[in-house]
Amino acid sequence: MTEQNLLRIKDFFNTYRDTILPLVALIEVETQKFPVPILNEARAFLAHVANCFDRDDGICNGVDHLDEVNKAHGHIVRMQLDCFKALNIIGFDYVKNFLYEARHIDLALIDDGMFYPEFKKIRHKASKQLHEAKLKEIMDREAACLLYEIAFNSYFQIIELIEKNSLSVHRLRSRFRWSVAIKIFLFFLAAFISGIISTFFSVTIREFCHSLGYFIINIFN
Amino acid sequence: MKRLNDKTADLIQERVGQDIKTISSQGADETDAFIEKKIGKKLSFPEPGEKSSVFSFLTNRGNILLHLYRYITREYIDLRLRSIVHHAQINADS
Repeated sequence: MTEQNLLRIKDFFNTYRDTILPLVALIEVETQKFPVPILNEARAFLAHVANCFDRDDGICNGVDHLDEVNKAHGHIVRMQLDCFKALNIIGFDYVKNFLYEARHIDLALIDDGMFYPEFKKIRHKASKQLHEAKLKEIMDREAACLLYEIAFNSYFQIIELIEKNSLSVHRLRSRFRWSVAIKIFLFFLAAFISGIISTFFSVTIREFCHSLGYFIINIFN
Repeated sequence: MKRLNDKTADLIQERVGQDIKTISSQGADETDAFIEKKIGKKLSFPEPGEKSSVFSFLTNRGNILLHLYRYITREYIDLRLRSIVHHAQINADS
């Protein structure tokens, strides 16, 4: 292997250590699972790097392994892309779940109305950045990595905003639950009262009709 | 190659509990042990057949392409192809 290719491989391993390992740790914390697709990319990357070294003595044998090094480069870039995409999806899913859980509450009430405009602004920015990153990926994957990273930063900014206001969201949700419980209670109370009243009146009216009938018959007799 | 920006570095420090330097200097098993201690449970592998959103997103790359077709016009693709061919011709001439 040439000196230049060896330097490239060294650069790949530096990237793996300084970029991919921390990102994988972050994904593990967020999902509580091993990110298997990314680990699979790492396996493919290592296979190409291993092919660059001689089978018998394990050292560079002077052959130019440009193809293998280029393939390894492709896998390391894909690994980065996969990490950023996974983090973007984690952020997107978090926001989606939040909106589902908060579907009954008025978001404009959180933090004296300060939360919702901020939330909307960052969410719009994040989805726009993600869209741009996807478009960039067609032309230049390494440049797309930068955009994906910026987009996932925005998504995690939303997560931080939601976590900061989690107490007031919880309070509003519990207030909503109480209002539903009170409505159900009032419904049954109203049904119970109307049942009593209608029974009372039906008996009274029946008795009144009977009395009226007897009275009319007595008159004619 | 790419380096992580400051925001990401801060985010990793805050959410993982270790900075990038520490994570990159220790073994993956040590990091996993630290994470397992932090989340209070063992990290698991996805069940066979389980398709998490992350997994499906990463494997179904074709879906992304289909998604993109809705946003890119045919004219834009033609324009890009024309410029690529143009640059290739210039490179070939020189």
